[in-house]
Amino acid sequence: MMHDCADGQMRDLLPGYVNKTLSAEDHAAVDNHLATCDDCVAEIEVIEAAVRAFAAPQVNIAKIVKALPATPRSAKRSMFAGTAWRVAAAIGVVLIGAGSVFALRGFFVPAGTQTQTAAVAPAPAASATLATTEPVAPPAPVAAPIATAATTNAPAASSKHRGTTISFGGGLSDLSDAQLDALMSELDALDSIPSAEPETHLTPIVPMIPQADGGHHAQ
Amino acid sequence: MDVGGRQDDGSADIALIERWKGGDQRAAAEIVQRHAQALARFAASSGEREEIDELVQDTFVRAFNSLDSFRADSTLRTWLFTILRRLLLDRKRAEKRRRNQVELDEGHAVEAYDALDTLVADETAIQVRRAMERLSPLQKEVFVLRVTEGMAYGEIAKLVGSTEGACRVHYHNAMRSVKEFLDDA
Ligand SMILES: [Zn+2]
Repeated sequence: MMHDCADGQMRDLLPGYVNKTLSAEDHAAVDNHLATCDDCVAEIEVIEAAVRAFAAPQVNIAKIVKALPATPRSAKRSMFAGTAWRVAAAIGVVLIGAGSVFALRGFFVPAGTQTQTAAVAPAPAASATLATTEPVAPPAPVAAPIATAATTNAPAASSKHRGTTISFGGGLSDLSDAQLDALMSELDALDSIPSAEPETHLTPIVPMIPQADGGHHAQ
Repeated sequence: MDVGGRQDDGSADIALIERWKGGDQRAAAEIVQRHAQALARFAASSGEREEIDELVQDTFVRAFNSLDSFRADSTLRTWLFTILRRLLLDRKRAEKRRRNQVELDEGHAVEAYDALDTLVADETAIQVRRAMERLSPLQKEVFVLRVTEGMAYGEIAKLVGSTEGACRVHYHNAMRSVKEFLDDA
């Protein structure tokens, strides 16, 4: 016949004792108590049996991790990098093709074959996010989504990027030189990363558009 | 009176969340590692047979998608359990509707189960599972959270929408009932 120990406080420690979540001090106190209390020993056995009774199949941790959204920071940065590349690429194209600021502005009027680039300008969500981003952090381990932002046409233009950024307004021109330097060196570091989908470098911007579900990407 | 709760949970999880927000995807893996199995146990104990993996995954995906709304006034683990519990309740409601049965009583998530008997090797553990059938759903839920996770009464109370004192009473009544069942067996 099992009885309840009269020491209620001690009994309240027993599940934590079995689950090894007690402080060392509490754990030792239970150990001492168990040496003299058969009721609590019996209760410990019930708890241990219950733990075994509710064993669950091993879950697939890796599969769950894969299904998780990217970190807000890496999502921002990949979008950031993607925008910068497109801006840099746009400058490159403009410098080669026209070479004037007027042409540069005209470039952002959506027109026929340049719809891809036009997507850069009307992205207020992107600019807003960029503007509120704290100074670019020292490159953390490069997250996978960033790699897709690296395109093959951009690196050549990157050296011209700094001088002309001011023409663009919005997010990039809000950055200090130091921040841009950090950004550019970070982007340069990506040069060697092969892009899995070179033609889809606009896609990172899509998840950044504020979503009806109060998307977590927007702070 | 938050006696016997997890000692290590809060601060480590908060730090991991900050790391994840700062761009470290590996922090997410650590968070999953820390809590996935406990969530699976909870899902299994509530009578889920299949798709426990999917339920746990769904819980984490929802959690990470709304991590900004996580307030550290409860532990991350309790918050995760809350999300999973809601998913379980939704499922049970849908199931009930399918069976055209009476409405599920709010807050009584846990029902009959025998899903995992094959995993339970020893006779005492099987007896404990049988003893659970005599408990109210709420008693059983409190008991399971308390014994399998060592969850503190305060956290259980937040999870099931009750008070610490009430949860403590539920636990001890459940324990007495289980002991009586084992004595009679
Ligand atoms: Zn005792």
